[in-house]
Amino acid sequence: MKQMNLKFTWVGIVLCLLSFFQLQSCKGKNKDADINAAIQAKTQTDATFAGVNATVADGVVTLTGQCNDDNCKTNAENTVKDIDGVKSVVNNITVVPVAIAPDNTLNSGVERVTARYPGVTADVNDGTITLRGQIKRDSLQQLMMDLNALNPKKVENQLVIK
Amino acid sequence: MALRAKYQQLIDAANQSGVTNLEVREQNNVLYIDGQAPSEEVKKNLWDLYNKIDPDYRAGDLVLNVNVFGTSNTTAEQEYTVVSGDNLSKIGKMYGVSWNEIYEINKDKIKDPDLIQPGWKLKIPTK
Repeated sequence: MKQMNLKFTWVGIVLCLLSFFQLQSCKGKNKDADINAAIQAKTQTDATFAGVNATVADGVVTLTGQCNDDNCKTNAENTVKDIDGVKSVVNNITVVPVAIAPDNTLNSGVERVTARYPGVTADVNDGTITLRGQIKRDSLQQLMMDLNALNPKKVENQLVIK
Repeated sequence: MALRAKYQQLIDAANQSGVTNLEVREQNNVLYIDGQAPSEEVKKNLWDLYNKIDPDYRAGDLVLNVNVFGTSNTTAEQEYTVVSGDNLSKIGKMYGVSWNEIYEINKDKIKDPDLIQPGWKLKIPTK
């Protein structure tokens, strides 16, 4: 009889422990699920986050996927950081680079454009078009329009405007 | 992020004036605005706004590539207005294309490749 009692006690203890651990892990999962739901709610309304995915493990959010620009990446991180229960954010989002024309394409385009603007010279270096020389103010806008359409990284305007 | 704020007026104007496929991206301290404008007028207005925010386009922090829907940007053909003294090979040299290519796509206007008139708007093919 005494032995039986002891056995039951052991079983009882083991059951208690098991249920305790289960509750604990359940609690962690719930928290992560809550965070996940909060992320979904916050990001689904914003189209800029369409390419971003989030996974949550023990309060650590890992962001993956693609963003169109730097803002989107930092915004996504800040949005998630503020959610209750988030311990930290791992931001693995990649920013899809803007398509910049290669230098040889830019060069031929720039040559074609500047041929129409006597007095204007232009260099192309790593996607950046640098303008030198002089131009009439009336022609500046059209020149800039033409150059901006070539998909440069940027246009440095060092022209003297007459 | 600062660049978006700087050019917010321009972005808003693009949104409100019916620019389609509008994309605004800030990367490496340059703001890229791409899209298709419904008319030359809209495009011009956006450029005037750009000039207002950044006089004479000096800052080099914006690439505004908004083209009028249906017309070309540089990847398609361009237009050249003939001035007196021009001939097809001279125009061709300016654009790096042969006189023959210009002749071919402007046959509706050019009957004789040796005879072009000032004021004609010629299509210039891409290389």
